[in-house]
Amino acid sequence: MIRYYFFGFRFLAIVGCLFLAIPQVLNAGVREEAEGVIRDFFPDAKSIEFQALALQNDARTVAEQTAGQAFLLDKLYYWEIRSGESILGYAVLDNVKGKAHPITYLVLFSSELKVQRVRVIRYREQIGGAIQEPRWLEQFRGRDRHSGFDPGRHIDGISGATISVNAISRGVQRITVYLSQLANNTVAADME
Amino acid sequence: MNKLRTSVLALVGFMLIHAGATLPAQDLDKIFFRPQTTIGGYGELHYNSSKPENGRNSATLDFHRFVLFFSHAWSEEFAFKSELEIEHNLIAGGKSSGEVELEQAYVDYHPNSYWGIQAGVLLPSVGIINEFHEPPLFFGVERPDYHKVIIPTTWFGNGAAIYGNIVQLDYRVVVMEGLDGTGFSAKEGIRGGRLKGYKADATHPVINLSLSKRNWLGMNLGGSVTMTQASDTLNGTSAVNQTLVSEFHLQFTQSNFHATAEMGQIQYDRPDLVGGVSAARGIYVDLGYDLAPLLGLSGAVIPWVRYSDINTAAKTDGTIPNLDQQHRYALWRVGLQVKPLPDVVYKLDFGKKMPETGADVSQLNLGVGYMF
Repeated sequence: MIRYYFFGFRFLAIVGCLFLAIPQVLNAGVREEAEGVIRDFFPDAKSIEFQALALQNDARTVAEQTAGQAFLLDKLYYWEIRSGESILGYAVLDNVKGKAHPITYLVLFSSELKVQRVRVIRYREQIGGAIQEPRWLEQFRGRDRHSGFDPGRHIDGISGATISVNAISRGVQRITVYLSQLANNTVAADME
Repeated sequence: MNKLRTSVLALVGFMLIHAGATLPAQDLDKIFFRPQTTIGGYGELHYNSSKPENGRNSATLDFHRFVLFFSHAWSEEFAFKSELEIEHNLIAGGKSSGEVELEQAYVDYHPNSYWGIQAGVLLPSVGIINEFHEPPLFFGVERPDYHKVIIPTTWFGNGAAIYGNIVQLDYRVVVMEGLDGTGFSAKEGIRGGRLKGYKADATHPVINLSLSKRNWLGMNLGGSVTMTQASDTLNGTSAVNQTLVSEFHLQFTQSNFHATAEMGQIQYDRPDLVGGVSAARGIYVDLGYDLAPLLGLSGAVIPWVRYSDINTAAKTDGTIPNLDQQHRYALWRVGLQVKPLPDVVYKLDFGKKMPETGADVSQLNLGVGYMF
């Protein structure tokens, strides 16, 4: 048996001090991190323009009902990615509710509003962090407003991360439907 | 395709019209994280019916647990988390009453994903269910027998922990209150030794070390060792019983298939203080398959089966004849888990407990559980 009294409260105090002595990794702001991901995915981007847009009620209702999840933020935090005249894609930064803290995630879309990449920008919970892994997030690629997003059926679950998996899956669906709905509403309004 | 392109261009035009709502960059961090208090909870109602081959049948209706989580985040790094529980509805004092338990209440400092530190009332990382015990997260109305007599779930106490994620491995080191060795038994292992934070012994702390790998080929793999010198008394003199709990667990979820397996043992260096027992061992395996997609239903409909083999006196000092046989039993259980929503579960299971010595016992359980 390990002679446990080498550990004890003194051991914890020493290890704690060592950790405190290690210089903390300085976190960039969420906007800088999001724009880093955008530039990495769209290397040909000449301009990325950020806007915070008020949510449109009609589109919001459809998106929330389809995804079964409410918006936590009252604006859409959105980038448009261009290369000269042509639009390369869009990006949306959003929050979903984790077990106790919000999870901040970024969704990149093609110009045709298909999901291209999802990245977790801030994960604040102690557990369930496996949803940050790019390999798991890759399964959202290519999905659009008509795709299924049900965890366990269309999206692989992760043992021990049920709440986070459900939150992110619904969140990506909500943002995807919202953007598509906004585009449809605008077309309908133009035709009138 | 043309229509889509028109739609997208229209979207861009629409958004440009609203460009007046632009925000300065530095404000985004404050928008995406605000100090806040959150409330959560879980609960479960159980119907338990038991039919021994010989003896009286029994049936109970029990609102087993009503739990509220209160959390507050002051900043991205500093948070408070708590779990307050009422067991069995009624608290009237005395042994036959329910319990109020403060199972978690700690301040958490979590500067980045590599490490964090918690201090207060904590749950050690022992097995799958001790830390994450909300009813929708496990099969069966009652928690597996393994989580009663091998791992004394819910095991909580006063202490501190360092945890984090390095090279995609979750680690956690917990130092917490000790165990009362006089509560150890051949029948229920260390369960009776938990002090539950009540003026708990700090002279002989419990040390719990755990490692887990999540989402590796669809699996969640982990293991832990937990050590203590449980204080005890023998013939009027104080004694310590070096106690080691080691366990390994595995969970797999992929393509509607669910599997869980856990195995663990408790070792004592003073069997004379535990009625002649020097080790307890247990294992269980759960297999389930979600039929909802095949049936065209939303939610989850999971029939499952469990096999357990438990011996709380797997190794003895030989002073009591056949002690190991008296405390060994196998258990088969089949059940159905219906989750109309991820956080709401209806449960049904039927099981047969088969002691190596003595009569079999049939059990039927019904339950409803929730979390939010």
